[in-house]
Amino acid sequence: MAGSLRNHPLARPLAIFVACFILLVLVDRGRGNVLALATGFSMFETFATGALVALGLGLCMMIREFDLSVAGVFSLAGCLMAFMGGSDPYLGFAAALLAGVVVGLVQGLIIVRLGLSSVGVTLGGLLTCVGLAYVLTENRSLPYDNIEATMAVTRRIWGLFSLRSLVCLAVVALVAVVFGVTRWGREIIAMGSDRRAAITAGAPVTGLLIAIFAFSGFCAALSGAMLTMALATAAASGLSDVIPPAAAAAILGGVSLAGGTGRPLGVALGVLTLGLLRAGLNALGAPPFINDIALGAILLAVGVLDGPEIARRLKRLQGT
Amino acid sequence: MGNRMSGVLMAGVAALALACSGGAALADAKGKKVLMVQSFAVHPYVAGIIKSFKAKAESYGMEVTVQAAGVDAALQARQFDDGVARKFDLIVVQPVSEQAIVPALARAKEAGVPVMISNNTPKDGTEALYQTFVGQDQNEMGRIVGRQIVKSFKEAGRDGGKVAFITGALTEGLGPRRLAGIKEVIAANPKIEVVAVEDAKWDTATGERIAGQLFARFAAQGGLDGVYGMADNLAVAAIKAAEAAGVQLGSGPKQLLVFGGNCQKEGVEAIKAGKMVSSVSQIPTYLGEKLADAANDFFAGKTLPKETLLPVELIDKANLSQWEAACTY
Amino acid sequence: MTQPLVSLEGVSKAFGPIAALRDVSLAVAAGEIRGLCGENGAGKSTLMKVLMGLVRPDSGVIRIAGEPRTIRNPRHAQSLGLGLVAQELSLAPRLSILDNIWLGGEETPLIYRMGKLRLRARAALDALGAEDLDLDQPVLDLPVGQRQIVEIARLLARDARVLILDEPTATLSDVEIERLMSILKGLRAQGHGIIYISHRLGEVFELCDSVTVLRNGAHVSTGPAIGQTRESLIEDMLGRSFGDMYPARDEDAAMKGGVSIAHLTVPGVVHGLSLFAPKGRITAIAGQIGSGAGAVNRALAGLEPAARGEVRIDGSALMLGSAPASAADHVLFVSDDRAAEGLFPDLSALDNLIAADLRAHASAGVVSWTRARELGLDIARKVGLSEGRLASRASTLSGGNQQKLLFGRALARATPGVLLMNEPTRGVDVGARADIYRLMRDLCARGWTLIMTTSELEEVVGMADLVYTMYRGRLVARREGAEIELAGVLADITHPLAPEAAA
Repeated sequence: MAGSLRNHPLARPLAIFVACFILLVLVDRGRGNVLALATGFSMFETFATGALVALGLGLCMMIREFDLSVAGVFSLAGCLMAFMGGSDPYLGFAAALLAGVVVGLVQGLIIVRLGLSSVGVTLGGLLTCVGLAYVLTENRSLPYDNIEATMAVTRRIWGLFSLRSLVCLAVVALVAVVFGVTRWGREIIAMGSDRRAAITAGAPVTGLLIAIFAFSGFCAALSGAMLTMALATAAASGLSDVIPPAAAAAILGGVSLAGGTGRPLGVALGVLTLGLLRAGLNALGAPPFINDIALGAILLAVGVLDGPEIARRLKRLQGT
Repeated sequence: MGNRMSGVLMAGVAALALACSGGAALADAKGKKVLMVQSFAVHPYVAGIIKSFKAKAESYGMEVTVQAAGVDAALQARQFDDGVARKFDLIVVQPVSEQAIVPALARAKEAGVPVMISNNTPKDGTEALYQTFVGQDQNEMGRIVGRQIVKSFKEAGRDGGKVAFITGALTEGLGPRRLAGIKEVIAANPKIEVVAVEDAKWDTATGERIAGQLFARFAAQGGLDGVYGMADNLAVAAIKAAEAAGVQLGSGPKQLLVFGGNCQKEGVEAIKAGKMVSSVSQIPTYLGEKLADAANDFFAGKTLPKETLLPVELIDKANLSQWEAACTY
Repeated sequence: MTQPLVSLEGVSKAFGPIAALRDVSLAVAAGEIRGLCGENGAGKSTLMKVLMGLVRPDSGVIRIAGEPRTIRNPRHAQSLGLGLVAQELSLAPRLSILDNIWLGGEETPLIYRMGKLRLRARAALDALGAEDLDLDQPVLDLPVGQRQIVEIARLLARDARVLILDEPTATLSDVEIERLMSILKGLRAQGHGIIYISHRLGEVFELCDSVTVLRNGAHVSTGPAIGQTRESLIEDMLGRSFGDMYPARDEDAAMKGGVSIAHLTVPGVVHGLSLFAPKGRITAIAGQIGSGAGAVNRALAGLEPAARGEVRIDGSALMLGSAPASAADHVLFVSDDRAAEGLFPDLSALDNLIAADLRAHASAGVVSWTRARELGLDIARKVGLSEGRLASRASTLSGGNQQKLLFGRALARATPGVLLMNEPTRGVDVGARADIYRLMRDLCARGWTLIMTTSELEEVVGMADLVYTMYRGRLVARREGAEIELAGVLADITHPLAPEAAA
């Protein structure tokens, strides 16, 4: 029983999250800086910016691919939102999401049909999207002039959330459920651990690959558009650094670059861990670079634990 | 580390004392918690602001916390909002994006947390959201260079001429403002022609590459008369590219005049060596101290002007000695 | 006569200029186990891929229960009742047994109806006598034999009528093999058709009702297993008797010295191996996949960092775990993975020939290219590589020519050393093979020590002067001279614990 709990795919992401939480509370020594509603809210706001990109990228990593284009789609979607969504946010969302899905679909099709590496293809996608965003904005930051919409997505709800973070939570929950109860989830894991085996077993790998890249584009576009609403601005150069935290979150969430591991909820926990670290260290008044050092140390630890040599030794210790 | 801990502890004691006093507004900066939300903490200019602000503010008895977000506007808004939630007595922010910080400023206003803006000119129409802006008149910094270009060309005996601008990020903020100032002056002198405006995003290496391309492009048309680097690192990058391309520097015929934008160590050296005509004063230590003074005034209950502008002056060979130390940071 | 479950009629398939299948016909009836035998490259795996829809035949007809069908992909093959257990299993290690059984199944619903699927998976496992397997256990934790049972259960759960098994016992233990045999016999009794691909003739005779032999992509013979002998099957597979292929052994070539290995251990693969490979002879280390034979050569080549033990070449100690150290002691390695560990695919054939020994053509660190080129040309002639090919990139050469390049590197050495070969003729056609065998004897005569591992038994029997057999990392048999004959070596490999011959 203990063994099966330890092997559960969510066990490690959860353990890392809890460990960070305990550590922060301990350092706080009862002053109540960390254990405050504000810290939770801050954590979920970081989640709102990064969760969906990490989810899309995480799914790509699960099938042993990578999507660099998320950063470009993220900026482009924000610019489209500022361009078209000022008076009618829904129109902005429609344009942004359409662009994201189309970019993802095209990339997926190219990867499948031409048998190319996803890194190269999505690097092309990244540059194309950023270029389009520059053309669209003429290298100026665009204001998003809809104060009501801005206030609506950023207003605090139930102390911890905003509309933005609730949307992200809903998408994550939906994906987690679909991943858990449908055959798609199993097929994604199978495809990531051994694509040839998945093909032989009959899994529809090409369709899944295209769908995952399309979904990744959708996720990046949705969060990019929502961030533009929240910050009331858009810029082709991007409002936020997207890929490093998303990849870090996926790895914290148990997704390995070698594919075939991880769960959507794990990735979400990874993003929450990043948010918690950021918010908690802010609350403690730690200097800015401490966050990077702490995150780097955790990632290094995860990477070392993931190494084949360590795994072999652990296994020998367990006597299996 | 221990120092920081005891500092935090002291802040706690001070906060306790504040609570016991019934929350009445103290006409004193002692024990006030101030958050500085910065952009590029690693950039020497920004680092200079942080260092001098911290020193002066702490000498007034304030407790200073610093956050930095690099170019990440979303992260900066997050750090700012965290500060609002944690009820700092004052937040000093140097916005990564003048636009993206506005919703956060509005939330601070709603929560009753006072804000001061540092260095980067706030967006027009947001005056109600902050106490004061401490910085330079960026348009004026551009106009000064514009006037200097006109003057230098005349002194070199040139009737007009071709100038190229290698600028900082033009997306928003300082870049477009300085550009507007310089263009305004030059527009009144129709014989001077602005032949190129290239965005180097404040980056030295990009600036050098762009300058090299400009020299190659205009070599066939008799060369350029002047180059403006929006910051001194860009002007010095243009000088290096000119030397590599065999373009002669100086005020003689067929020679190139180079103008800096805000003074830095390498700019001072270049002026000394006669390679650069001039720069403009923008001194981080002055700004940091001024911010601390303004914060002290605010806590003392004084009414602050919406703008606290530091003087901007032309720096050339004549007055270099007076600025050299301040520009070397 | 009942209708066959599956039949191929005149199926051909070519990959570029190479014909993988030539006009092959085959039919398997219900309740029949058909053995499929042939050398590597005989077309067995292409035939299997055709049946699974992974390869489209260029011509010919496939009938399922009499109906002509075009099989589009593995999923479609499954829906037609065909199931494959490939040599490399198609299980996802991190998924549970239950998820693996239903992975990619055509009737697997989008939303798992756990109850029903569990029952059917359970029934399939129970039918195979695997009541002890827990459906929720990840496959990762299972030993190979049980993974194979999961694969078979997957096919049963999906109502496969015809099961194709490709070398299913290659990585199994004896007990596991026994269990698999009885499971397959049980499935035959239930009316399934089974195609059993194996080069272990003992298993074929024990299990199969009939045997089909392929050679060079063509059908050679089909007949009942009873009435065939081991020798007749081997002659069908090879198309000739042994002798022609292999140069005569040169008893005079034996010299003093050689490689002595004592207590060699590669964690998890080789356990305390000791043997002696004399100079001027070809020593073969035989064993099935997982025996550790290949790892011995890799360890001597310095490619197994964790290797421990004492290795002496002509009495002087070799430092293990360092490829440069091995190379400095004149130990050359011909890898079974030429692309990854042997050749520089983008360099020319000539550059490849002289690459490993640049220092010999250099004075004070400066390479003399004219001298190097002369030497390269000379070697090319010796290894039978035409001069016109020397400028071509190594990656464009055929498998045989690539292998000749690697042997040429050994010939280029002035000082004889140790040549380690893993699968020296893998992917090499028959003509080039004879060249390579001749080269191996040449090297013996020049005083080299040759150590070879190969999965092709006839190569062992044809070439080796000395055969050591390994099983699960341990030495189980040693044969020399006249003791080296096919049946004996085969017995050593497949029934490893019986002979106590290991010295």
